[in-house]
Amino acid sequence: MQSNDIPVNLMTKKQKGFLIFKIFFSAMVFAFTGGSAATPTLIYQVVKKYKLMSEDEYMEIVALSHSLPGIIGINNSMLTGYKVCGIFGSFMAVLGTALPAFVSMLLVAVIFQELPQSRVVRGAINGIRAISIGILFDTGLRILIRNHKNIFGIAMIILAMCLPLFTKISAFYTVLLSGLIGVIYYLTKNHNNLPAPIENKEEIDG
Amino acid sequence: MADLWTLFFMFFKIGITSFGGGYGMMPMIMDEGQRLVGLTEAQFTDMAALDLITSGPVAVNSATYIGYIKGGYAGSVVATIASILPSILICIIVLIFLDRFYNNKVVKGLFAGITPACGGLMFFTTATLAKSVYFNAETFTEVFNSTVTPTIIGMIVLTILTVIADIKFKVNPIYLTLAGAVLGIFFLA
Repeated sequence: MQSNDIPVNLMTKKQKGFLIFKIFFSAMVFAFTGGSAATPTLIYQVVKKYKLMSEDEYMEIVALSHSLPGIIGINNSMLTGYKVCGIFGSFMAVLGTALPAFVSMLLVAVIFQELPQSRVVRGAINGIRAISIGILFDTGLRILIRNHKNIFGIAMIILAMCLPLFTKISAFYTVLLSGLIGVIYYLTKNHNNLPAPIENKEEIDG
Repeated sequence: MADLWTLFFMFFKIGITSFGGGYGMMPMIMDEGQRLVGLTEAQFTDMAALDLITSGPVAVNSATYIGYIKGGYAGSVVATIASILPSILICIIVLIFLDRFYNNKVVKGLFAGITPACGGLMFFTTATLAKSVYFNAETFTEVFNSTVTPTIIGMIVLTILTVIADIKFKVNPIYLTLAGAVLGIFFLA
């Protein structure tokens, strides 16, 4: 595929589709800690190298994909692919995003299941589990730090922690309930200091 | 083995109500996983760690892993597709109603409530994980009655070090995971 040599505006729809697949696939392969790790690479490829859209247009898509429900990386590839060449572009971009995640995890999962139950392996797994708990805790801690001046935000954090911990209400219904409380809160009062989005601008920019 | 339809239903449900990407859906994966497909806390913790060393979106990684351990290769495909599908459907709706969606007061209120709730749910998740991964306990009363071994102390210390390294020094989580494996071999075997 010699798509690099043809200017993007002269490409056929099919070539654009394959280009968008290549961009997302190569960016995602090296995004180990999660989809947002690919954002700097994607900005470079989409905006600077192939000039598929302006930086402002792309950042608008990034912001929108962060605020929609679902998987941020998939939202981003859906919207970017659509902007470049319609539904076919969306399809190719989603494929390019999901494929590295699926294949790499399947490989790791198969290897992980086949590991012998030796002392060394158990030690390594214990270590990884301890780290994993710390990183999950940090995700909550970051949200708490970002909301530390927002009483409504802190109240929601405490409520969402206590409901599933002390009652039989599942995390799923806790999310639905907190969404409902948010809507009521937002519609009854006019607030300027709403809780910050989950990922801040700095993280988006990489 | 969980049946494929349950896996599909579980990840579709999680995908459509999760905000903030892979880590936003972690509490729901644990909770729904325990209820629907018999996921254990240890399996969930392994998933969260392996997410960090595999490529691409964390949410897709998680779905592939749970799908594989609960339903084999077919399960991994079904769970992955189910986790992606809500995003695709939501984006199609947004592409049709873009402007009206973005400035909608109800939508803004939803985010205002759900984003901090995700933080609270993360604390719920870590409390539950700490209980079973450190102490191998079913309930919190069991935790208070269990004997504290050097391994348990070692794991708690490692977790605290992770929190500091991650929040204060912003160390790349891949290195933390690898360091955890190496330290574990020497101190937690």
